[in-house]
Amino acid sequence: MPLAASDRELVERAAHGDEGAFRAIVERHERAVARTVTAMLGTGDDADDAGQEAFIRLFRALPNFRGESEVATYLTRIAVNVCCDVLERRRKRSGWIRLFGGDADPPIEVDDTGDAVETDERKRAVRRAIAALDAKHRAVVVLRILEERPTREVAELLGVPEGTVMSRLKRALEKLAAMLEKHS
Amino acid sequence: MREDEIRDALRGERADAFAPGFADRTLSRWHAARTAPLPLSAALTRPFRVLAPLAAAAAIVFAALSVRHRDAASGQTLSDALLGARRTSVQPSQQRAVTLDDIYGLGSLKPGAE
Repeated sequence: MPLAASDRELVERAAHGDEGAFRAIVERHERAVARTVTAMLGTGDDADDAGQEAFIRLFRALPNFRGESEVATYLTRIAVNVCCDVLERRRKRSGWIRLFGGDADPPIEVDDTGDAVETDERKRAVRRAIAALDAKHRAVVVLRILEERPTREVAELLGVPEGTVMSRLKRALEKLAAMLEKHS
Repeated sequence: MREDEIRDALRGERADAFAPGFADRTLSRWHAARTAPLPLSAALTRPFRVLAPLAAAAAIVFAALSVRHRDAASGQTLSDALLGARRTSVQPSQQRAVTLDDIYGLGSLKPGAE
């Protein structure tokens, strides 16, 4: 699908520093970014921060944006990269905390309040297992399985060949199965 | 591991929107980013990107000139020429061993010492 004219116009204006146009881009794509970012990081301050960072990086990249892909696709790619950076920082922080004998923060923030789904032990186990995946495997799980994007699109978003997406997905599923096996 | 099980688990996890006021927070951050002074690394990167190709081009020109004017008769090798180094020859009668003491010793501080 070609880039929508209004999106193209907004990008053009935002690239020249038009605040209104930038705000319109944020408001238009906020929900899509929220879905991807919260699936990657869980709900909470980290996700909000990553969402903001994704839009700021988009703004910085606007002068180089040639309109070959949709703004939404470009933004999703940036958002996934930001989330991978956050997950990598969490992993390093957890490593240091464990090294000094402390309890590392859970890698994903789970809202346990009052949701009947949350009480399901199996689902929680699955979520914990997904949270334990490293960034590149989690990105494939979120984009390919949760968002049900075609392999080709996932490959484009992650900047890797389709074969790599397939092998990462296979590896992620194996890891999840192994973790759940251990849990049960 | 079934994909629909993963999908169900993650669907309950994700949110469809950020907390209210997300656009305002993003715009505030955008303003802060625009008005913040350029970090030192970025400030140095820009002139480096301009000057580095010029410096590389100049180095190539000087190297080419040095090679072109190489004095092969005096035994100057290609690598010497590239570095602009010249071969100097010393007459056997002028040759003598140079010791560390000659270079770093207190004798080198004497007036008239070489």
